Amino acid sequence: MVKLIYHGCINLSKLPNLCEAGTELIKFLEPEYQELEDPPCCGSLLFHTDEEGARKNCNEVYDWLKKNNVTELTTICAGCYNYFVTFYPQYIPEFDVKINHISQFLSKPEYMQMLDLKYPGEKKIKITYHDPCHMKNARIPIFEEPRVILSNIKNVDLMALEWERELSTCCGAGAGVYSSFKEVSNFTTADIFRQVKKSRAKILITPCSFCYVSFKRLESEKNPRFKILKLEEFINKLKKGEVIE
Amino acid sequence: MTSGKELYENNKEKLKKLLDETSEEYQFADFWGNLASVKKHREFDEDTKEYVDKYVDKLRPMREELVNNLEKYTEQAMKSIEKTGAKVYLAKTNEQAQKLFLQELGDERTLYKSKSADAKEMGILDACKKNGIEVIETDLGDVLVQMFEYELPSYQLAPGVHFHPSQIANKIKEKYNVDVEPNGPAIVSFFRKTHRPKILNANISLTSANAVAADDGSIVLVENEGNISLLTRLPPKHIVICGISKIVPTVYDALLQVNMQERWNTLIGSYISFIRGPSSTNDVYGQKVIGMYGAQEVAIILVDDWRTKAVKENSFLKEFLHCISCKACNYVCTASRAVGNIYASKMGLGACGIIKDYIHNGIESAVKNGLFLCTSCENCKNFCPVQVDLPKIMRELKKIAVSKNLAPPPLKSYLQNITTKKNPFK
Repeated sequence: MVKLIYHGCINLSKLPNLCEAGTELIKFLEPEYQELEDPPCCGSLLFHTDEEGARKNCNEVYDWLKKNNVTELTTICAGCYNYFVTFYPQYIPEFDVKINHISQFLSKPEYMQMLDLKYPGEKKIKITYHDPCHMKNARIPIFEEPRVILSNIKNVDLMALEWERELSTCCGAGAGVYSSFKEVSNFTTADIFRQVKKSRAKILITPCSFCYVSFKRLESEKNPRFKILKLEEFINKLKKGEVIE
Repeated sequence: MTSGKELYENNKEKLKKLLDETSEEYQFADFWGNLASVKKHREFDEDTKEYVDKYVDKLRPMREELVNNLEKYTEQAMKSIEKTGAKVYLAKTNEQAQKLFLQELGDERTLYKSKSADAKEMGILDACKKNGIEVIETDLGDVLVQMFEYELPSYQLAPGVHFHPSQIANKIKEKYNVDVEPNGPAIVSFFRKTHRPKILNANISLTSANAVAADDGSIVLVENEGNISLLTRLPPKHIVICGISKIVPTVYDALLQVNMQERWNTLIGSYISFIRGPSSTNDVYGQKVIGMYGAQEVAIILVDDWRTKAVKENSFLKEFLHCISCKACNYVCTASRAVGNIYASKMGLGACGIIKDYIHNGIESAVKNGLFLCTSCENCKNFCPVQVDLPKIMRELKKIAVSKNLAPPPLKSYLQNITTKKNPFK
């Protein structure tokens, strides 16, 4: 019986710092969690583009999970979460691996207590949270858990974005659009930045790696007056007592 | 067939126009990106919210009943319409619909029409152009589009909404040599003066239908401007053209459908018309005489084209038949907000426009018009009053496009990497 940390290929290939943060947190809270070598891609884009490819990939991933005795996995990727909980059961009715997004994992009361999170700055800090499409459209949507985590951090004010939860603005990167047409994300991310500015938050937290990449690209162009952090990155910094400037 | 690379480059070229502030594409996207949004769409007033909450759950079952029994309700609608004294046709294809329409038009060379997405989709406007028939638009949005000779797709509920008042005033000066103040009331007043008398003298009008009741043959139309009321009453002949998916089982369902079309968009139309055949009177010694003040002739062309085929084959397009054409999906679409009418076809903005483009012009055209700009954010489904699964239909279209090698090269490379290296980014 293996509990797996499943980072997702975007994080493994492009965002190793997020993988480290996720692993540190998960292992701190549940040391029996493991990382396995060369995990296969969940196949996200195939679900949009290739019926047979998606089916084949689903079965291969399921076989790989079974071969490694994985009974539960926690992922830091909102996309992997969505595809595992929404699409896999459509292709594999007997799919029985328990899937958690890291926000579901961290929001357990006992883990919140173990982490005892506090922002270490002298003054309270305002943060805000963006709901990604992958989490609002998943078969089991996630709205509350990240808010439970963030609103329980001492010395932090969680500000609502103008458009949040079901109404939240898409980052424009989904379904492989980011690979081909960044023009969509140029517009929508700028709109999300406008909302963050309006919220007066100093940090924008996202639980989605695709939104994160999209936000970070525009961050380097627009130089907004707020930080962009991935959920596990933010939590891990607080756990270490880092002040985020 | 054009390659995915060429179509991708074509898409990228179009997107470059968004960098040019003088381009028509920029102008539309700039306006649309600010007008359309999920939040604004959902800011219902209390009355609207009450209505929507009370009735929205009735829509999907009603549409499912219709779609699952489309042939039965089409047959019933035909019989009911016939009883009203109107002529009724079932066109198997769009081409047949065009022929029937021209036949009904006879020698008349001028057509007065209301806004009709169906007429455009069924090629009626192209048939008019080909046959030298002058089309006079009466919906102000379409009047503006016609005045500007605007060729690009626009928002079908208000097709000229992106023109700035000063642009309109300048165009009026250029076309009619009349000075009009660049504001809404002055512009509306100008067109009321110029266009209303024309409608009063029309011989034949064309409208679509927001719903057609199978049980009593009512053609139901919703509007604000009053042009439909005039067009359906004043000209001696009124032609209706619409797809059979506009049929609903009962007249009560028709009212539900048209009310939801408006209320879901936070609109309340000034007029709802229920038309059951030509005008008539029994006032002369109890004898029924057709043709009193209203239309003397009403001809209704119901168009099947792809619809019963989609039901019979249970294809992915069957889901699209549940759509009530409220256009709410236009308003909440991520890609539409971002790139305006570059992600659109002549048949509409966003996913609906792309799907209709696929149905009538094929997959290559759908890709050319931006199929791969869809981010699968699912807003279109989440904010649809009938929960039409447009994202699923779009996924099916993308699958067809990929199988025909029409995907954008960067996406294609990701897909290959997933299959061969188990990681798109390696």
